[in-house]
Amino acid sequence: MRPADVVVDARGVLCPVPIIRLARTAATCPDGTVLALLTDDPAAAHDVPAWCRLRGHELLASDPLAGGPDAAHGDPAPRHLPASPGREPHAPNADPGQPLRHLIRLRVAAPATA
Amino acid sequence: MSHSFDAASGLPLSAGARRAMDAALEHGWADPSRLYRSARIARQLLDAARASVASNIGALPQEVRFTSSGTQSVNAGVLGLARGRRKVGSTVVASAVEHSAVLRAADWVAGEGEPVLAPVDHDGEMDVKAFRRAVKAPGVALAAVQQVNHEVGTLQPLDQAHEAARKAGVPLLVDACAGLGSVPAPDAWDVLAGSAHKWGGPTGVGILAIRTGVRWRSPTPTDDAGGWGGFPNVAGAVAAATALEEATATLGRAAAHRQRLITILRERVPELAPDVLVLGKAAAAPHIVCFTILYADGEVLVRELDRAGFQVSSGSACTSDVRRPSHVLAAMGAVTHGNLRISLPPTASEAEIGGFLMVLPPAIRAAREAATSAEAR
Repeated sequence: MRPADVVVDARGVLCPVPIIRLARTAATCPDGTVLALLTDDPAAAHDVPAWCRLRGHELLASDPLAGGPDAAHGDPAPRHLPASPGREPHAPNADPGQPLRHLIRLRVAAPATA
Repeated sequence: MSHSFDAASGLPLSAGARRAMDAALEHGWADPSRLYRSARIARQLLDAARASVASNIGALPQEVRFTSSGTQSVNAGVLGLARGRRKVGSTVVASAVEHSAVLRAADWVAGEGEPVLAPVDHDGEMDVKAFRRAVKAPGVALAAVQQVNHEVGTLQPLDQAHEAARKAGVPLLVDACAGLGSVPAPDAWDVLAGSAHKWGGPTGVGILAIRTGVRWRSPTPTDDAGGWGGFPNVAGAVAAATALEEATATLGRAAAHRQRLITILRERVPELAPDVLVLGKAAAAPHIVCFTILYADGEVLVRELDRAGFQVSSGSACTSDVRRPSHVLAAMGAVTHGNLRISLPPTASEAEIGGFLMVLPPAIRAAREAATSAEAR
């Protein structure tokens, strides 16, 4: 797997901020740049693939980060956010055992801001 | 003056329904099961309301029940069908974009298991092939498909879904809460659920219609006469029936009018600001349209528009404590933030649309600036 050219750290912020950071970064990157987004917003797992589709970027991978140190940041094991009591049972991220932290990789397509 | 563009959440009680309700409260207060004169009047009012609703949804009067809400109709519909078919199994097959009332009832029925959800395309339309495969599997108690999606207005392929369910011997519950009164009542159903305040009737009244011969068993204890649901809300039923009569009588004209205004919104809104996209098909319910406003928080946008005098809705949940993205938008593969749902009441005017198009760009700018300042923190 090709390593990311740029890592966008959006841990601790909620939608739409992760997408705003991604869009800003993508706008400054040449065509073909591989971006990695690190996020703990449960909405990002839906929003980033949808945003890629709408803006023409290529989604490479979207993976929950399970245990172990985080290669992108040298972090200790990821935080497991508690499941909200009113969580939607049909959201793919609703499994309380599933880490809500995601690493999403995409390839920027020019024009990045299209 | 505030303009409601949130008809899919509910309409105000129509003037005619209010008058009918007043009269029914005055004359129909008694227990319809008693044998004296005032009781007979209450019985006649309730029977007339039931017959009226039945004629407007293509059912027989004895197939129609009044409930206390659309959610109660859906819950009782799902649970009652499941109870009637508990020997068959406990799986509910549903589209992935059903209202949460349907999905939670399906979860309830499934117990340790899980409902089977048929996927939808990017417009929110259910994959009929997947649905057909799912209903054919063993252990399916019932299937549930909505008439109109409540968030994006997409019409579901009910005829094909009903055909597939019928061939599999599985009863189909149709959640028509978002459609009744705005689009013609469907006829492809075994059980139908509706909500009166969405067609101009009172809040706290729903309808549940169960076709003759469908195996439905009351999910709660029945009364001595085999009745279900407790003391009937006669005045509520009368008002609900009156409003449905009115909505049905003017449906064609109201639909054409709202469709014209929705078309203006579909064309103009994406031109007003960058990164604004329409969700769903043009050939959808005539009163609902949904937009993705990228890089904004939908709830902030709702508050900005409220300040500017327009009531709209958003399926986004960025700032809410539960942080639960809309399962409808997620299933469609749509962006779940910056979601804006506009659903027009029959009374919406072109002047109101013009006013809305004026206030929308500054509201989008403000919501995006708020998101950007959150980003800077």
